Amino acid sequence: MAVKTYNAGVKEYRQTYWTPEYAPLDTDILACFKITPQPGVDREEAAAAVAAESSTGTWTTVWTDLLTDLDYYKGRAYRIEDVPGDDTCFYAFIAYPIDLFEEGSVVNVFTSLVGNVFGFKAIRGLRLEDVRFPIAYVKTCDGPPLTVFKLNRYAQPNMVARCFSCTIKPVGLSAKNYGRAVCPNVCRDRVGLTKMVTSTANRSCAGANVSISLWKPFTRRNTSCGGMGSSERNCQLRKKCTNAEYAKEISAPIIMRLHYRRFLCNTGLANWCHDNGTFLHSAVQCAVIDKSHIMVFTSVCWPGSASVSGDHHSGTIVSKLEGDRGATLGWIDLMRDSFIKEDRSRGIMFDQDWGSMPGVFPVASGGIHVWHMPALVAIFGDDACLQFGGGTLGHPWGNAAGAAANRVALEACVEARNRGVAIEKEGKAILTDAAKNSPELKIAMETWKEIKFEFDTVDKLDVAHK
Amino acid sequence: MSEVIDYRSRLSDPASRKFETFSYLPSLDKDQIRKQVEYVVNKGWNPAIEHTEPEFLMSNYWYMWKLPMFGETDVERILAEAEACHKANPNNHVRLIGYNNFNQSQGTAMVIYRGKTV
Repeated sequence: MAVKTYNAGVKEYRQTYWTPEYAPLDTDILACFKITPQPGVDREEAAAAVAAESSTGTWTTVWTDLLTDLDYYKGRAYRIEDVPGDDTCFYAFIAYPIDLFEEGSVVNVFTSLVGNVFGFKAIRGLRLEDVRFPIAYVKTCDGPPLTVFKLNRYAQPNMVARCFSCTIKPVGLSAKNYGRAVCPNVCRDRVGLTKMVTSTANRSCAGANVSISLWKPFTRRNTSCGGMGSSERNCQLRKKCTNAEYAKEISAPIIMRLHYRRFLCNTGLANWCHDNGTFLHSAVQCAVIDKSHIMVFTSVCWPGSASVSGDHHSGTIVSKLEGDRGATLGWIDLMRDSFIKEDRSRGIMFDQDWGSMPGVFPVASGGIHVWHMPALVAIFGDDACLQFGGGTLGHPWGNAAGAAANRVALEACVEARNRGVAIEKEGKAILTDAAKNSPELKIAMETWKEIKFEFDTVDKLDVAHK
Repeated sequence: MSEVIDYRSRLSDPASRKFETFSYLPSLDKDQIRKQVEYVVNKGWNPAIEHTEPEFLMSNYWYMWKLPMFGETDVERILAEAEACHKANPNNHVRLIGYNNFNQSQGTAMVIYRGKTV
């Protein structure tokens, strides 16, 4: 055994953490960061710094390093690549040994990968682009409580082409008005779920009363005309258990959580859902404010899928919210498929094998309306959750008609797609045709025909080569 | 104030009941049904026929018409089974299912003969 001696002082990160000769093991957790170093810091040093700070190292040598086998636990920066079209930054590939992390806890992994390293001075920008979890680690995760194929088993008998519409705004209604706005109209038609917005749940007027107002009409519908409506109860960390328990008490099959704000209660809440057969909806729409310093959604898919929820917001491409088409298609694959090949054009940096981990629903939301339906069906396909908030409530004849219009549009597109029609190209004809039998769809098309969200995407993939 | 039209849908009105996929569209005609069967076959799914009395349409399990037609790719034979089921149960909803054995669930399901609602 090699004997090391203790030499106090600062030495360059690269001496310990830059290991270009290292061949990553099948059991390593791999991460790809896009790093923009500070002027004067070279690439190898910056990459090694990130590897060190996100695993075992700190800024100076400490004597306790010698009490352990550092080579067994340390992260290693093993490869550096140019970013296509951008000289100021580079990709750093880092391998972490599987034993560095607690098994079955994606949260534990991410507290290292996106921990203090993001506040690190030597780098100006840091993006966690993607993470590869080894199958050995995947098998230690319980997976989402209810998922695409599980929900297929439990849900409505005929529910295959799905439109989970929802109503989430406005904020500040009284409990009773909230129920009035959401349920009696919407649930008469088959809106798969309705969602309570966070800020409503936070208000003192909300809470239990709102849930009852929301839930009662569903119970009525479920018993009298069938169907499975569901209301997403927002579960907070502080009130998590009582909220979730209460949702169970009133037989609400879906609860909801906010991904970022309550990241730490992920696993606990997911375990609770496993035990109680509840579907967990995850609200995460990546807010891209500073695109150089962020955890890219590709990596966010992971905690969402592996540990936690049955569905997950993705970008939508066509909506009012941010979303690069290639990247969104990549995320959708990542959420639903069991093996995803590396594909730089979709922001997928590694092969990812999910093993038997079931897929989860990608969620499209944010300013979508009937005119978007052909694109949504083409992009998301079956097994997706389409959330029409304003697109339901904002219908000129109210939300029951709005829900019906959305359904007609969805079904017309699915029917045409199955017939082999290129629905994105023929979208207008399909909708116009369907509207002949649906005055609700017709008026919806007239109301929203001018509304488009054609802004340039802020958060783009690096595919433009020089 | 713009003109608002009431949306005709009542819990008390069985005719306004919906039964998911394609129930918001007018009933599919023969040609459209054939296209959907072709879609199931082209996807490599296993076709199956089920039926139920309309009053029990929301029950999770419908009557199976024989067994799923595993490996059947002949569109004519699938259509013939659906029609046989419809003839034998003229008042019932009859649905076409495509079982996807890779993701272990139904790839699609749709009512192709609408029963008589009561």
